[in-house]
Amino acid sequence: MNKPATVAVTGLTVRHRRTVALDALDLSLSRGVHGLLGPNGAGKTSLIRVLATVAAPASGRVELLGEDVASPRERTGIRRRLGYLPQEFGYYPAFTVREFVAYVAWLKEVPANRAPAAVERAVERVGLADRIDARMKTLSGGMVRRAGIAQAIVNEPELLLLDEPTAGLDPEQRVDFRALLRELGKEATVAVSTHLVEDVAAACTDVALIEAGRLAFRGTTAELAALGGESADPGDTTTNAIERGYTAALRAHRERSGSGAARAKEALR
Amino acid sequence: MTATLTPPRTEPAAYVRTVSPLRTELRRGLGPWTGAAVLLTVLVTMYGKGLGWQGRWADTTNLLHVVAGLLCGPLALAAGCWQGGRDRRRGTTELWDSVSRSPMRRLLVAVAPSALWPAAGLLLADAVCALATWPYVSAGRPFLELLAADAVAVGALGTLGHLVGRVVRWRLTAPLLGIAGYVVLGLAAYREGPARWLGPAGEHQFFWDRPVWWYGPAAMAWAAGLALAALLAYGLRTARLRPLALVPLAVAVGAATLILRLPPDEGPWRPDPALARQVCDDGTPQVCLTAVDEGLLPSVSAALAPLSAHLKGVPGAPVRWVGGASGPALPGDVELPSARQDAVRNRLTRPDLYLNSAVNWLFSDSCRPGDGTGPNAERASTVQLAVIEWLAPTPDDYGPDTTAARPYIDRLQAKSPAEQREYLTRFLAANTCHPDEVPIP
Repeated sequence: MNKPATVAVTGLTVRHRRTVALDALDLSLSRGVHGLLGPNGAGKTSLIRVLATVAAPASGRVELLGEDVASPRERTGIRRRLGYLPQEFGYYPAFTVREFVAYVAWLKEVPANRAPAAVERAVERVGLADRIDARMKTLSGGMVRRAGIAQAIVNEPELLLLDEPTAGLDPEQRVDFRALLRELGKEATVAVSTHLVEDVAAACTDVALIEAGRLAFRGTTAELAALGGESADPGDTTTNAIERGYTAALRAHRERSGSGAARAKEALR
Repeated sequence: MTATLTPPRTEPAAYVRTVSPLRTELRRGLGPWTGAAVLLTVLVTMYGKGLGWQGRWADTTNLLHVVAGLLCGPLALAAGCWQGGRDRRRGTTELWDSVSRSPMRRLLVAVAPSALWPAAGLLLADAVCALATWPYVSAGRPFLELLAADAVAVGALGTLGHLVGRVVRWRLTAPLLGIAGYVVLGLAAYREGPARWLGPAGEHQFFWDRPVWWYGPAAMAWAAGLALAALLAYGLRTARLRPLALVPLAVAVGAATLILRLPPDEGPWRPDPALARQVCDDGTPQVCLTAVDEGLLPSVSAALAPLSAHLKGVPGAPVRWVGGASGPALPGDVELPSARQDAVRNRLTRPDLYLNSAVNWLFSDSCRPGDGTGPNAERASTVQLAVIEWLAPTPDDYGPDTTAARPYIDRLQAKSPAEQREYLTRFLAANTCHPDEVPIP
């Protein structure tokens, strides 16, 4: 049975001045962990920002958790059920981890009687329990990133948006984080924007590959790996298979776009 | 992370710390430092003013008011502005744009340190200065409503600074706003006319007055109304709610209208008969001061005692020494120099200087143009100096050179008490504006 879509995007166009960041994108996501892959500047962050209700689209319809983002009242409802870790995670250095995550819990309108326990649970889940009363400015880069993930999950979101969440994490923390992602994906829709295919291979159930503001590929990680074909190298790993699939999908999309553009030019003549 | 990945979802049995966002905002960041800076600014400035303010509530209130308006106001503006630019500096704007809590409530919590800490620092400093004043005042009560109005004004300036910091994207805005605030508040404080009483640093110099009862609340409404109007105009994002900002603005304008109708010179201050009434000691001559300086009477009487001993029973000698609000009113009254400005904690710091000043005032006739001339003018002046030095020698390093007067001083000191009294009678009867009348000892 198909799971109901918690993210339904149709004809989404986002412009930054004269540049088109997303070009009439259609995408739907349901419960599970979804990797948003693509080269730098492909439009991943623009998509995440629209889904986080931070940026408004130039056109198109965005429905999150069954509610329309364009309606201010419904947008407020969506935000209560949303978790977001921006690519550039800003924080207040003088706050402790507990204070910062509690502050975000208040901003997300977590009921006051549940907030203290929710804060401790979120901080525990990212492995920062022993530093919960440490000032944010005393944390290492990886710990700050984990505090960022804690604030994103403090309200136990139904839709969790993570933009480059593993940046700054060391390999051990990355392994733990992927396990956390799989755990979160059992109950929520998690969209992870990344350019690290190993994150996708380890944690995501399916992948959306974006290139130049358009959807280049949509499918499971296994389907993406299959696009790369068999490797002649007997020591090849799953990650390498996905990388090959990623490259193959991109090239195929570029060829399609190129031939489409050529046909369009021909038609204009 | 793995070890603690999925803790069981049971209610925590142990104590779970509750963290209020308001308390966090108030505890962390620049807020407490701003409060401490305001506290130190006030205390250091008040201490630097020489503690002469400790004898009268009006002195204490007035000095606190000026320090609050001129120094703490700009400090609150600059600190608020820096705090207001925090989200931009820290890069949290993106995250906060994705949350559900209304921008107005977020703003109210974020602005709290900018508004409350400077006000708290000022109130604490006010309390310290009031406690330091309490044991030495003779009459009246602290003008708490004015101190509260100062705290509200400083809090309002912190709020306005915070909003400027949110709007203006420039790192130098905070220091420049502080400097601009200092200039504007300073200019407003020394401006003539009723608009001066709208500024938070308008000085008042009459020590036996009290403000009209409504001035403190009106000043609070003016400052708080303006700040709240700006806060609502910025924080209410929907066009439907934004007109709510007009309500506090109307309150501010109403309060300002009341204040602007005050008399331009004395503003809200009115004489208080209870503070201005005369109180006298039992000595001869009597020493009389205003009730507000009653605590100084023993010190002033003691300083004048050597002079009183010389003048006792001398015809033409003062019947009463009168200082303060009423001045000489009866025949035989002689005006005293102000004792308060030379006193600390109801004690004259230099009784010898005060005595010397009192003798100078006693012998200072009001001369007309052309008086004090003629061949004997210089001699008369030397004789007068000799009499003053004999009665109350000028302390070392003060006053004029007494070399020329020394022979006359020696002669006066060599006289018998009866001869001295006879000479003083003649000297007091003479008009020192007419040199020929001044008797030679």
